[in-house]
Amino acid sequence: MSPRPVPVEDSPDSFLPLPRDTFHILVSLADRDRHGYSVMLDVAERTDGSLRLSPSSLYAAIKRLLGQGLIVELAERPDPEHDDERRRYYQLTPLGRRVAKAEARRLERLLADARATGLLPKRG
Amino acid sequence: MMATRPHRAARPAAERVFRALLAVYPGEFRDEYGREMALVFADRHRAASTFGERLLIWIEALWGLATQAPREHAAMLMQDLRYAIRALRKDKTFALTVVVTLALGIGANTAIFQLIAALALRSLPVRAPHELVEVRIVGGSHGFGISNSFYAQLTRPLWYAIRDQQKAFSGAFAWAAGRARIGERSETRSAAALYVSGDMFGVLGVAPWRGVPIGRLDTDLPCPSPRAMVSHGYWQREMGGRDLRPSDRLRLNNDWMQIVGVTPPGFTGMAVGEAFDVVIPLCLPHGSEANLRREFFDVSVVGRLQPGWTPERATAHLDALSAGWFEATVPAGYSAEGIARYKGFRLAAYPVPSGVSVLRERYDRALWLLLGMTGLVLLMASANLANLLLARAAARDAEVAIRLALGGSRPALARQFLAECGLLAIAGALLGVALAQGLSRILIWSLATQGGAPTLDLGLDWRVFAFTAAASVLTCLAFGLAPIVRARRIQASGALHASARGMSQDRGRAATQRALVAAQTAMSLVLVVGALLFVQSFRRLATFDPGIRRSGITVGIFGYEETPIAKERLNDYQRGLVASIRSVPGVIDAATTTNIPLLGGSWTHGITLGSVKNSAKFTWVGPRYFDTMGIRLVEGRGLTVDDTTASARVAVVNQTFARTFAAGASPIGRTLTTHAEPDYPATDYQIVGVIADTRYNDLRAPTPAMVYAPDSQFPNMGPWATVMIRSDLPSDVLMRAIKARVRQTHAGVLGDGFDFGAAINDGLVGQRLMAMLAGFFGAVAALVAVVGIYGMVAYGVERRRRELGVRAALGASRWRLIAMVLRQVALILAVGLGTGTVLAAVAARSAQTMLFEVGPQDPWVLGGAAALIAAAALAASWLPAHRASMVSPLEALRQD
Repeated sequence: MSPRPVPVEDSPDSFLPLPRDTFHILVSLADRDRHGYSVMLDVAERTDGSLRLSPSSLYAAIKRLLGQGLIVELAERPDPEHDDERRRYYQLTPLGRRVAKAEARRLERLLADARATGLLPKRG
Repeated sequence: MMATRPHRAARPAAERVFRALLAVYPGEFRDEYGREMALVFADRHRAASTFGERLLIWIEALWGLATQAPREHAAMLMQDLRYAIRALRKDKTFALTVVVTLALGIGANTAIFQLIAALALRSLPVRAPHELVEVRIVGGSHGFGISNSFYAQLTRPLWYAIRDQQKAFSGAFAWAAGRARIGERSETRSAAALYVSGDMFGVLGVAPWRGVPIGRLDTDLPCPSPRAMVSHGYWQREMGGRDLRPSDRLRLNNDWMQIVGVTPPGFTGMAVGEAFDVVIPLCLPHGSEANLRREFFDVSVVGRLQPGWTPERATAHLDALSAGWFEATVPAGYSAEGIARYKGFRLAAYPVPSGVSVLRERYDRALWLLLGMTGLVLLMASANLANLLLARAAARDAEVAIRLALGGSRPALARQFLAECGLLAIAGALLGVALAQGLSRILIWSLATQGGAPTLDLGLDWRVFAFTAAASVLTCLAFGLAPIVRARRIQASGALHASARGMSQDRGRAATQRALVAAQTAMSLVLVVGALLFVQSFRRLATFDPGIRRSGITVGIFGYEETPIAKERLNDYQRGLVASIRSVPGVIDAATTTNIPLLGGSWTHGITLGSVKNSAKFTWVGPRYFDTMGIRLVEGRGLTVDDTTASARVAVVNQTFARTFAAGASPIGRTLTTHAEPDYPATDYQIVGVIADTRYNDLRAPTPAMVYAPDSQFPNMGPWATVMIRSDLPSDVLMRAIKARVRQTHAGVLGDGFDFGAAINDGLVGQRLMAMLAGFFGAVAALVAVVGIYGMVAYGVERRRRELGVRAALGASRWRLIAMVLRQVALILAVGLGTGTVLAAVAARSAQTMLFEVGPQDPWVLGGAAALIAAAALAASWLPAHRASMVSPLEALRQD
């Protein structure tokens, strides 16, 4: 057992910028609760297989997110779509959602800046 | 729902392998996420359809393990440390107590180890020191010839034979440590000199700090040598550390020499711990190597082994050549017997990577013994810390139980405790190393004599750090393990229950504590016995009556080499000089001697008396020598002014001589004959008196057979005199007055002097240091043990408060309660002191050779130490025992 520091009144901005893996995991948990393998599949699918999380890096990130209070663990339950073995599900916390949004906005602003300076073509 | 789950009898091999690999993670992480990780891995592995995909998954998985596991370990460590710091911050008194105790213990150990490292373990600061060997006579020369120094092993003719004919060394040199006179006439000072022959700096691979080194071409020229070097210290002190100029000259031993170089700082030649001021090339006083005296063993020869040569091969080589070399260098004037002995000598090569050191010979054993003592003290302190930690752990039982109940793992708890004591040990070690820097310097300073303190390089090297690290890890384990073992026994539910009652399961703790205290008592007895033995030994040495007056004697050394005096007038001149000294106000008596007693000098002659052939210590002394030195005449007469150059040869012998040569009968009237030696032809002396036995050159050594003859009959008188002067004045005051008087009466005489008693005490610094430190550590050990016993009794009384209350309620008297508590202490003392007596007896035997007139198993010392500790322990137990007797039944019962 390890005492986890739980940030209480953290402003979402204090977490930014998020590491790449972390952001992808939060995004993947945005629409529904998922277990580890489901997160991994979702991330791979959304990135066309360019970001492959290994079990080690996935759970290192999950441990960190739990510690930061951005996600919570749900009770184990079987995944009927998969092999029905009992798995641990994860859910975004309200703070996690705010942080993911803040990061998305940050990226959006970056993108806007890139377009404004002509680095990327302006949106049609 | 359960029924719909596919039953899987066995997991696929890949998943089993991956699960096994998860062992690289910290336990907590594995417990928390291992199953999930394995599931994810299995899912991916199952989903892969080709061999290539599976291979990629494996590579990713392994890479992930290799990069993430160390991070998790580091994170866990940081977390443990953070937690430990928080826990220790909450309990500052505890943390401070532990750190200071450890710092003192580790500091003392490190300081002594630093000295050992500097003296015995560190290699010389030269190129490839492991290739250096010293050439010595196998088994030593057994007193053959004349030797003036601990380091001098060979004669110069032998050195030249070795230099010219050996094939074992790529280079060799000879050296000697000695004194040199710096300056002119009245301004002369004595300085430490390193005399060299051959290319010392080239062979050692030592570059000069400034200028050029003394090389092969500078040495072995007809005297005087034109060039010399100075040490870094001398250069800084006397020459202001400026660049050398061709005009830099020093008057050394009455000859002007150009200073061509400065040796590097910290360079002491081959002798560890002995600084020198000047390096002077050995020169040839009579112009050629062939004319050198062959009985002076005054140099040490060092060689660097040829590539591929071992010391054994070099020894075989030297052994093969020895016979020819000794044959060719036989000194003149010895008896046939002596010459045969000389020709039988053989040479061998001894590795000297750490140089040679008289200090090492003298103090090595003492230092290791001291290290053993400080180690024991540290161990005892650790036992107290373990007790302290146990008490603290008991107080934290509730916390531990809660954490266990919440699913905390035992390894995590153990790590937590280890992190705490690791942190304490590191803090203690750092502080200890800092403390050791001061302590080791104090130790060196306490070894200082009238000639100054030894020069040792106390730098912190890997050995010192390794030692300190080992010491702190061991202590950390020693005092940190107890609470861990204890934590393993705690049951989550049981402890919660117990702590709810304000009591903890501490029977186990009490037993551990009793064992620790018994062990402490045993160790403290060993140290107290050691302390008593060394203090007693030193006290006996310091107050020992050697049969010679120790105090109120000044040794005056006078030289008049510059004054032209015919050899036959030397004795008259000397007597005139002594008369002049006697006339100085404050001088009670004065007499010359050829050998200063008790300071290590030795002068042996082979002697025949009737049918007995043996050797005896020979000294030529002036009239009134026995009165001056307080030596008692037992029979016959002493030596007087009437014993002159022209009168019959007479001698006074000691009682041991009478026993050795005359089987105890009176030797008076008999004639002894000395065996011939160079400059000392065989001579008959008639024995006219017997004096009481006195010590000869060492307080500790038994009395040898001794002969005194009149100085007027000394066969080899030179333009110098050593005068023992009796006076109540301090030596420096007296010498000033004497020098002033001698300047008037005997112009051209150079004189200097020192206090005889202080010089004898200088020879006892090792014993003094041992007595001081052993006494100190003994006292610390006793204190630590008493504190341990007090803690145990106080805790025991606290724990049994309720029981004591019940007993009091049932009518037990106060005295019965006190007796009950003290009985327990007595039992532990009996076990501890019993074990300690055996250990002390064994340990003391290893110190036997360092003790003077105290047996290592002196029953008074053993009994006294045991009684001392028992008394102190019972006194310390009295307070808590008394408190036990005051427990009010009502109050004790109400507590529950």
